Amino acid sequence: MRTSLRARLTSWDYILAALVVVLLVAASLTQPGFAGGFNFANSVSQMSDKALLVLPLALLIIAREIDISVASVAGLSGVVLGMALEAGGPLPLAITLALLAGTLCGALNGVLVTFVGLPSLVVTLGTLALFRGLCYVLLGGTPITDIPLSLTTFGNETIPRTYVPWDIVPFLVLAPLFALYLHRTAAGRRTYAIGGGPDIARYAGVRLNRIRFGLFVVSGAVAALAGVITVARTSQAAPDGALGFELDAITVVFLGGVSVLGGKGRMPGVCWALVLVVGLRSMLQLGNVSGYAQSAAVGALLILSLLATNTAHRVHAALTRRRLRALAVRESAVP
Amino acid sequence: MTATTTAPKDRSAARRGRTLMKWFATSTAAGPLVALLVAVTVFALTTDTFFTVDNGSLIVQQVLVVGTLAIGQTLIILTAGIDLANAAIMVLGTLVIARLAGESGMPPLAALIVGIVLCTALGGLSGVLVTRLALPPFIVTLGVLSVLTATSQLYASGQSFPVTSSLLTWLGEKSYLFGRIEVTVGMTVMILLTAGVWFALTQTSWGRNVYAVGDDEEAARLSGVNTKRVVLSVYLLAGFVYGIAAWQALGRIPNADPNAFQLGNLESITAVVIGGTSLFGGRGSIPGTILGALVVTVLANGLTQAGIDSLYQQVATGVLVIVAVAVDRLVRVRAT
Repeated sequence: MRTSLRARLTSWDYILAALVVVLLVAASLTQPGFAGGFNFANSVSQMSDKALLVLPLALLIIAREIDISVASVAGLSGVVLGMALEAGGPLPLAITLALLAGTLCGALNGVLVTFVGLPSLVVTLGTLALFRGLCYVLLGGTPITDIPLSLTTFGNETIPRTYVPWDIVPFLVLAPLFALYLHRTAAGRRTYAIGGGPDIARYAGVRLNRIRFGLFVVSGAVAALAGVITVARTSQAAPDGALGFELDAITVVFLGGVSVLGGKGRMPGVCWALVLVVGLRSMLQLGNVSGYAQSAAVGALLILSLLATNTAHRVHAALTRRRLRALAVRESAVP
Repeated sequence: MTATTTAPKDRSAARRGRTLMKWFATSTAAGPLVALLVAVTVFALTTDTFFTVDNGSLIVQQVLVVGTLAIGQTLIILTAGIDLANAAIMVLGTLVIARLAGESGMPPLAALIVGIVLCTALGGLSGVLVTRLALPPFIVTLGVLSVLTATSQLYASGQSFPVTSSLLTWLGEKSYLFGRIEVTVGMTVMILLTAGVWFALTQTSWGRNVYAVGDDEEAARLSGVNTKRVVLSVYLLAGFVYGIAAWQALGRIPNADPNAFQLGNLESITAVVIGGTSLFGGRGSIPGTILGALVVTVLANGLTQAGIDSLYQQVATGVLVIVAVAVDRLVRVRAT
């Protein structure tokens, strides 16, 4: 299927990509340290765990569901990892346990949404508190700081002779897989169908609950991986690890052009939005703007981007209407 | 003789039983009421300190701020919206009031009015974005949340601001009813606010419009309701309620702290959900929300009284949210 050049150029993916280019050029010209490899590695590493949370969240929101418990799942998995290490478990086993814990959390969300039939916003609001509560129950208030060197190296070093930090590698591996699933498989089409209209998808023979359940399980597993990265990056397993990351992740998904009503949005857009947020935060950080003001800028960017697309749609609709009217007038003039 | 008199009695008893069943199946306040009674009974039986007058008034004081936030949240959720920014609006309100009254030396009353007007305006800002620009409430308030949280942090620049004016801490002022029941002015304000919003929602045409818009916006519009104006008025009223919550917060702890109430948005949504209000809009009530807020507070308070580590409170709240909606759904499936 070929789309016209004009439609392509005005699609949200390309607008985001253009914004990214403008931002990167502007930042490189105005901030001396921006274009350096060190700043690149540092900025990318800071977002490595949030970036992972974005991937399954985008799929869920496209399927008209949401998972706001992702940050709590990441926190809980980090705590499980820390406790397994403290109990003397070898690192591979500890990581496996952490991933298993996250997968189980995702499965619990999935069961409550699909089999019990509860709205996912409420379910994951509940499990957001539940899983975070479990972090504190398991660990008390004190973080575990005895993290093996190999894991902290993974969270703080770059791949030798490059400026690519190790901890972004899982994202770089998973992002294409998620894009392939969404845009190149039948299950991906079904995910869009569910988000576009659950009833129509059901009549078309899509097994809704199976796909939904699968998405929640994947969300749990990927969140667990993000939790492991948080532990590696901060060199500690803390009960408040990854706290509040869900809002950042949701912001990126919406900024990437995914509709809150489901059924719309593409992986490349989401990835561009991620790059935009990383670049913006990095630029502001170099300009000595505090972390809070950075969040405000991202929030403002979200609202402004929505305003822009909304206005664009209205203008487009108005122009189309005018053209159609002109056409109708011309045709009626012909005898 | 006896047979003829008992038969109608039985029937009326059966009818009464049926109406009670029907009330349970249809009233949104029934679920949280049962949960509250169960929680109170359990804690009253298992601890000595829970079921006392002093603890009762403590619970009511603890519920004030989140309860007030939840009233505003209920209004917005009734229109099928959601407000993630409510606690952030309130916290910015407390900071503005405290700084104006403290450093700038503004009269406390003026500072309070500025704070409440600011909160109302910020509620209105979300309202304008939702109505005029047709953006989804979830995203709008998510954006407003991050902007306002940052604004508060920058405005406070890492400090917190104590409040000394007696007007600003007036809602925390204590007096004693019947010699031993501790009541604060804040409780009276809370009761008035609850009654006022309940009246507006159930006894006025504006209230009917709010439910109509939440149930089906298109149907309401076609019936001649100015839906945009109704939704905007809801966000403005909710903003005003958050302003009152800011006053309550200063009365409870006379110190404006930018890091306070970070989970206030989720806690208020929890209270609303436990209170039986549907997140899809059009169904729910203010009494339900107050009961929901009480359930959450009683749970936290009771667990502390029972000597259970406060670490378990979040777990219990999470389980409660899920159980509440699950029960709500089961009851509704049975009823239909």
